[in-house]
Amino acid sequence: MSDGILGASFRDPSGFVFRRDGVVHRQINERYADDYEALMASGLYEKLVDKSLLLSHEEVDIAPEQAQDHFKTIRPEQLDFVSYPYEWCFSQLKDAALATLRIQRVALGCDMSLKDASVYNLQRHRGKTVFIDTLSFERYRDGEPWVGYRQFCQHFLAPLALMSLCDLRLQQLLRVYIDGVPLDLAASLLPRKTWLNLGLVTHIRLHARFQTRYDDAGASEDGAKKAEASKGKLPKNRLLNLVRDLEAVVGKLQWKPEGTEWAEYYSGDSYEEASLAHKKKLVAQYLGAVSPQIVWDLGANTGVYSRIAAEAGARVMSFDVDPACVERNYLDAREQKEEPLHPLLLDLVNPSPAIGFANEERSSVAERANADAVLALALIHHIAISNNVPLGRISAYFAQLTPVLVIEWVPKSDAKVKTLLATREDVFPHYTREGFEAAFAQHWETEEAVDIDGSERTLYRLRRR
Amino acid sequence: MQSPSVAPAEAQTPPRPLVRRLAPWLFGSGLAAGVVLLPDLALAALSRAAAPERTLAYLDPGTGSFVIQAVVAGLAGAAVTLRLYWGKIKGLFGSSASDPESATDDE
Repeated sequence: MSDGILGASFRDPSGFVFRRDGVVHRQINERYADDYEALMASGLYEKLVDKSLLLSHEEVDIAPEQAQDHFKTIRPEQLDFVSYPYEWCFSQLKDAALATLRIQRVALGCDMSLKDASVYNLQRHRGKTVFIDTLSFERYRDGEPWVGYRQFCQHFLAPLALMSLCDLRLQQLLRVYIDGVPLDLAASLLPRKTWLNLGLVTHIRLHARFQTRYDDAGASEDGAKKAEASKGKLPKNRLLNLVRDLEAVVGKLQWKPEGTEWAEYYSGDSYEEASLAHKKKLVAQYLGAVSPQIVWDLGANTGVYSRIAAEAGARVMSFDVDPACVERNYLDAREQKEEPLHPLLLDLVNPSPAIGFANEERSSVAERANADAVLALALIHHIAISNNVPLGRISAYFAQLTPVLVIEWVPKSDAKVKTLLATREDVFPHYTREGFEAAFAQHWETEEAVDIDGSERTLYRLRRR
Repeated sequence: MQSPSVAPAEAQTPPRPLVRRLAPWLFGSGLAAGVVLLPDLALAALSRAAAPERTLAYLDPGTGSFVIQAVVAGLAGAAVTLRLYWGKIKGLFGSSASDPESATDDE
């Protein structure tokens, strides 16, 4: 990841984020000086940091990234990884929504207010959901409504409601709409039964109708006059009611996988007890040999091996394609306060792309690659056989992600692979151990390879050439 | 690792006690219907009376989103009261009314 101003950081003229010598900094511009002083002097900063709701920072005296407009430079606590809402499970998005509302409530108590409510302002850090944009606070002006209300409904409420009440997969709308799900779209997708949900009727359906009426009218001079003529005040206590109401509406949204029995999601690798123990031991031993600080566990299921990596001292991005597995993994990590774990949703055969202006606002997965080691356990057959990706291309992609790869070879004679091939033609003549080793030899050198006891699988430790 | 083509489970609502199932009908539907059936003119009049003043922000808060806050904040006040009241009634029937997700520590 190269130094310079980050591509995501241009919307708010209050300042921007840049990287220098690998460390992320934030420049505060002159125009934000008064609000920044108010944030620090009002006690809000301290309160939020105490409650682990805001990323802490220190002011640093280094040469400004952009001398023009420069007021101060701060160095925030560094994050392990920046993830995006379309990579979160339901509960992580819900936690982020509730954190945003709570922050707004605390802010109003200190006569400050959030001037935006972007879902991208929240990250999981040391096991907590924290707000990362120090420049999102402004002094509260008496009688003024919440500027971030529209954004909150689009970034949080609409996707959560759709995921909970319509279909979980609609979360992926966030990948299409970088400023959140349009409310008229959400209103048209929500099932009819939600007409009984007063919160959703007001914050989404009615809100969408008001947008159509006023925002479209606002484009014309006549509409602007109308809006201007309709002046009044929104007292603070009523604004607080609005925030509390949103908290109640979000709090009630739920999602549980079908059957609600989590145990079935532990299916994992169909291993015998002894083989499983051997595999776990090998993984620990391989990781011990390289002492990685950051591990990515691809195809993590509910995170059994991620936790082995965490015990070895690594911070772990624990990715899986199944939202139910990610949800279980996240809830476990949250409950057990497992700080190093970041359970995330990722479809390896269609990983998060770079999106936004110039495709630079949100990075692709490969652009965010920061792993010292990657675990790819019981995974390769899903990519190579279920999705027909040639072994050489899998090897090349992994080489973009990490210098050290711990990968499990699963042969055709394995029961899992047999199942995958049961209903289709075997068009994979090169899917053999020799074929695997030859394909991966293009990018990797083998440092260790051990057959797993009582199975036909082999665990490799590879180093990038 | 599950198969990458796993279809996510659909949202499921666990069976709820009768009181809860009736709740939206008793309160939600009445209020929702009230809100929805209000003629557009009446809504516009209501919002005009209560619509807030706006100053400029770096984000366009959306005129509609600004105007509706006054309306929703009023309804929200009523909803908060109703919920409190409804919680007490539900309490009589022995069902837990507290919502663990909504932090009440007022800051």
